[in-house]
Amino acid sequence: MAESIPTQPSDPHADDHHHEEQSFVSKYLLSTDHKVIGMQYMFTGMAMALIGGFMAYAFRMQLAFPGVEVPLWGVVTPANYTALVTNHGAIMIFWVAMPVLIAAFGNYLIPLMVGCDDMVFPKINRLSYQIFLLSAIVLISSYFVDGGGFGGAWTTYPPLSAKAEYNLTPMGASIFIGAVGLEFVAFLLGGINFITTAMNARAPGMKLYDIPMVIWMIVIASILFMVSVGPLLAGAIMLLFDQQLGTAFYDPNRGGDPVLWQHLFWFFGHPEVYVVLLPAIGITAEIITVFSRKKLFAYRTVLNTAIGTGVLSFCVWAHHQFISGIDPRMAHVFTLTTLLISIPIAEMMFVYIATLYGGAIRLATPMLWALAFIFEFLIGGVTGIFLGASGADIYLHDTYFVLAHFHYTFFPIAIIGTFAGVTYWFPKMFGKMMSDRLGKIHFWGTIIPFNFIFIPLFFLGAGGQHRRIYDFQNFPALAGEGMQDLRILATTSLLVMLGFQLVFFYNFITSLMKGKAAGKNPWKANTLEWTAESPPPHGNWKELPTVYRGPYEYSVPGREKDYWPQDEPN
Amino acid sequence: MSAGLSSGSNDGLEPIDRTAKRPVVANGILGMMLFILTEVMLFAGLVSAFTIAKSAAPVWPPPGQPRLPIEATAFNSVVLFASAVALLFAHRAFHKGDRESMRRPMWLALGLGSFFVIFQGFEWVTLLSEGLTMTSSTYGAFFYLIVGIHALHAFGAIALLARANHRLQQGWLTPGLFGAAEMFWFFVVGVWPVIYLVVYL
Amino acid sequence: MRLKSLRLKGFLILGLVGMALIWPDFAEACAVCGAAQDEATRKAFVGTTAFMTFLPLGMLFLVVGWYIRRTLQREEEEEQRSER
Repeated sequence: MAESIPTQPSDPHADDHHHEEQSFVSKYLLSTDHKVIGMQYMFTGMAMALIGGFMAYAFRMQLAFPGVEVPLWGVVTPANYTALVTNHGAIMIFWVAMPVLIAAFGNYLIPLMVGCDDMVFPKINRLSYQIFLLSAIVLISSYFVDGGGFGGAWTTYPPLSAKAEYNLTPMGASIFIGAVGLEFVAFLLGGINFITTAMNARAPGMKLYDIPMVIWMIVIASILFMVSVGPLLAGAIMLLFDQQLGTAFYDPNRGGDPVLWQHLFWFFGHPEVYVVLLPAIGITAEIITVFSRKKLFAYRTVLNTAIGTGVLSFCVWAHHQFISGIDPRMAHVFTLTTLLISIPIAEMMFVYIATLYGGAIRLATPMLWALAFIFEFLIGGVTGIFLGASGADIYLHDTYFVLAHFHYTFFPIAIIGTFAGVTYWFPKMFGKMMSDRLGKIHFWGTIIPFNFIFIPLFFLGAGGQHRRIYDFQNFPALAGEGMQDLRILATTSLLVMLGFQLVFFYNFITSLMKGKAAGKNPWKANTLEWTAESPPPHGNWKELPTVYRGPYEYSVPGREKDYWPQDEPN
Repeated sequence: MSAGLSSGSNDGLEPIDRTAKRPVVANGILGMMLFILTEVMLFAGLVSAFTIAKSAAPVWPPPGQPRLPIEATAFNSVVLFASAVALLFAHRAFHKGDRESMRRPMWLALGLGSFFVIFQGFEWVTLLSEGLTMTSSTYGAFFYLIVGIHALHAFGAIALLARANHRLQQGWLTPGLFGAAEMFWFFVVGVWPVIYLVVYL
Repeated sequence: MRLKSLRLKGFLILGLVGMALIWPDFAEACAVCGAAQDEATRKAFVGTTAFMTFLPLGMLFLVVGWYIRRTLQREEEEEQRSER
């Protein structure tokens, strides 16, 4: 995790800031430097992604080949299966998507892209990472306590999650809630930092509409997170009390109400989707403008649609509860708002396509990832329309159709978006270029199997396959030859995809060791981070930059170069 | 950490001024505003949950459970408001630059705030002895949950205010710290009437 | 002409929304849920949903809107000063 941060070549400007030589611990583990904290988040997130991916491998093996001895795990018991599914979901959302997309890129990019030397609250920032690391350790520890890890799905619906006699994990359930709570505290601290830095510490001359899109997206996402997390924290405290103190907040026999939890959970749960989506959309905006050498089509429209998405994201959450016995009057309102939210997202997609139109497109690895993000996310969005309609949802609820739908949204966000960002900013982060050939092999080796995993699951879901079943052989209608073949296809594709991730790690490490030196601005981009050294020293610049124009002035007519950095006076 | 960028007195609460231009709101105050947005939503969630539980119950408050002390708490609420008023006087003096006449209202605000929390503690002890516990009914559970979380916030706000007061005595209270501390205290005071109206009445 | 058709569209959308609100009847799809069996609880759920949805939006509208307006105003002032 944090220890795996490679030793960077000592930069010549370190002395300019009068820093005494630091030990490894104070430089990489206790640093308040935003770049180091960003790296810590990124490597922790990647380590958690490996754990989450391994979990997916174990339970997919069980679904395709029931009862088989899974290599590296053993036989997956029903208790194992539920715990694996639960923790896979929670890890991928809370310990991979959020730390990498918001915290890692937010920490690394915000000060560099708005032109200041560090976050405004550096020590709160360090505390944020330490709490996050603690939460990851607490979550993993739940596997080793009496009763094992929690297995009541990442949504932790009571009464299953509230009573040990139902979920059979007296410790695991509480540890799970505690870990999620700690993680929220970490992101709360991080979010305060991101917003305050982006708003108050901008370089002289950088106006609101000169802020790069990815920074805006991270700021909007942080705001969404901060105002939506409160009710869930309240609900989590109540759930913890139900588990440990014997209160009856969610116990219908003693005056409580289990639907109350869903109410509080999804109030956060749905904005959360947009919390991770927006940074990925921002990363895509940076990449497609650079690699098509064109100005972002309609900067303010993208910004306004992002704000519109944020506003609407507070009005759609009850669509997760269409069959929970909610008031049908409410169900219809939420159907309408859910269908409405596809409009701003579609608008952003059109803006990106308009940006590409007529550009000098260069299909480098980051660009491939960015284009794949648009394409794959579109499938996720379009399938969401079916689920948003409350009538169709009664049939499709809790089937693999839902599962395939949200993997088509979360995979592009968390995995494709992350790879796009990492391959694009790798030269800045480590001062070396990544191999483009290996990058492309990794890209196709990830994208093609990804579609082969989840397209079969759409068909299985439409065929009535329920989400939470351990062994389909017990259900004659689901155990047929054709359906089992689709499951085997999905699992085999998963193995292929996981195998191709080795290419990425090989590429990552060899590029670090002996990659070509990147120089300051290998992609010929405009934004401020490319005017700093690669990798940027502590303090980022010897002299903080001044900004003269917006971030997307590419191919301006009458100029010799086809890019116009933000800090060049003319 | 190294001494260069983050100065020695910096404890992470005092933001470093990094740019030449003046921001619209000081860093500490903007950070506290964002934190308070989250906290408002936390209480919104709690109050919503309480409202739903209340409406689902056939009789509310449940029979056989002790009643909450409405009058005593009304008195206590007045004490809390008085503390906010005292803090307003301190605010005025601070922005006039008059640190000397700021001291007394600061001590008064701190004292009245602490009185509120201690009085609440006595109230809890009485109610517990009368048989209202977290497990006796959802009535009791929600009462202790919501009022308890409010009390935790009051503790935090008093600690922050005490810190600001300490800085004042030392003579280097910054507008950022004072602004953040008073904002948090006003939030704690402002959310109390909502709790009183929903939970007690 | 264009304004008129826009207004017509607005009424049409409002009408559709209104119909969607009036039409649905009660249907308990979830056989095991004990929630919202009576009208009072249903109303409480609807009320708190509206409250929790509009409270953050209102707060953000006030706080962020004010902040953005102030910032834009200041940027304009600075621009005018530099032009002089």
